[in-house]
Amino acid sequence: MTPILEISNVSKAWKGFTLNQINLSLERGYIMGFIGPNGAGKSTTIKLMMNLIRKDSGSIKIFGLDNSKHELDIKNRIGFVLDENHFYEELTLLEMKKIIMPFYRNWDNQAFGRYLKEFDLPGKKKIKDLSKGMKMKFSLAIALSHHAELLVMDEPTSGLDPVARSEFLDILSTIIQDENKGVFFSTHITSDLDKIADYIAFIDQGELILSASKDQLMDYYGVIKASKEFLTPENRKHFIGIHENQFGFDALVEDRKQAIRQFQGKLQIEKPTLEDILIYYTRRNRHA
Amino acid sequence: MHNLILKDLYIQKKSLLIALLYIVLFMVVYRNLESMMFTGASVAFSYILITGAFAIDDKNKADIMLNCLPVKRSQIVMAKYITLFVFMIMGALFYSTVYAAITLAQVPITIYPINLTALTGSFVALGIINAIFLPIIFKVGYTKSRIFHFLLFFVFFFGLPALVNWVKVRQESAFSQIAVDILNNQSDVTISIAFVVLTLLILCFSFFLSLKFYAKREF
Repeated sequence: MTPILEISNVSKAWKGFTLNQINLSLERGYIMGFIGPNGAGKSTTIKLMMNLIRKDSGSIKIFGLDNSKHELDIKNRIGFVLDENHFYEELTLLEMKKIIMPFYRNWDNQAFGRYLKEFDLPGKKKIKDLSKGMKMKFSLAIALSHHAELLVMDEPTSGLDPVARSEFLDILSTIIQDENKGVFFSTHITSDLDKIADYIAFIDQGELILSASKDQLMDYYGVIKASKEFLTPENRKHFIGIHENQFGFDALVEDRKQAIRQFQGKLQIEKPTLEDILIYYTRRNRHA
Repeated sequence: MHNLILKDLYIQKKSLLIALLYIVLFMVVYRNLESMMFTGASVAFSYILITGAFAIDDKNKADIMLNCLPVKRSQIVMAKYITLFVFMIMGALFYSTVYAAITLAQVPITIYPINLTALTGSFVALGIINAIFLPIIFKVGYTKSRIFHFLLFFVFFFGLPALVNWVKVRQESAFSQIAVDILNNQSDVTISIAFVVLTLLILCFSFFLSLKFYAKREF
């Protein structure tokens, strides 16, 4: 089956920043979390997907179609949620809908009305008077009302309070029950992805560090905590993002089961969280 | 594309009222413009609305939203040029309505109807101003383009009188005499058509320039 999103060897050079040979693939029915620290290249990748900026090389296929050649067809089938509000602040939700609606060939007004009710959004309220969480839900209502097959979201949860975030993630979980849809979701809040992501792609300093299923990552990696005597030059080679303190050190290891066998219970090896993986890899890259 | 034109009207409901009031104000305050009253009023009306639409788009970072929608960049550019004509027509219609109302109500102020010269003047002035501004806005965005607006107005206000003086000094030259003779020998309609065609050509060139600039723009 053709992936819903396929990014192959995409590069883009800016002044002082290069997105280097990015490769990603997402199948229908899944949520991919795109994580990385601020300035890692997440928004640049999403802007390339949406043709807001031009790639220097590589190819981006969405629904199996080239994103430049079939731009209109693709955008008709994409729902986008951006990191900040880009709607006209002075308009009400219903007025904004009136502007956006005619652009989509599959706009479903009944669905929009349903989402307004479901998300508890006041249609006659001005966008500037909405909370950040409500603005996000409005973006989502717009994205869903033209029956988008792929939702592309750039840091949708940043700045949301925990209740709004949880509500937003619940909505996403419901959406993805339709196995024909896909969600590509960038964030630096990894706990969001612990809850809902099926796949994780991790980017740092413009390089894709890893891309795998979340369960695979959780099973494969380990966080090691031990005294400094284990920090031999030989062992150092196996450790990622070593963090030393006066009592010992902690680091990420790539193959947890292998590490457990190697050190035979002499040190503590735990299952990592996504945040651990992000932090240890980022630390390694910063000190490389 | 009509969605984009309607969008520029929709987001400017308040500015539209202000621009309409401005036409009335213009008719009352600038009576010394006499037969060119319409030119001044309609240029002001359309300029307020064209720049207003760009300013609101810029404030709301609407370029990003628009470019995520299923619409071609060329359509976004084309829509702005068509909107310019829509504003011109709206200005003419509203001016005529106010003129008719004041005349019928026999309000004791002197106002001037739209004539061919004023209409041509309005089209040429708006056409040239926007032929210069639109490519700049599509290239650098509205915020950065404001410095060019300032420079252009500076050139218009100080450069134009200087140009007129320069022409006056050289009026006796053979070339100037030939140009004046040619213009004198043509009817008003012919001269108007020539100016309108020339403006349309300039607008076409400006449109292709805008297309090129906006296609390369990154957000």
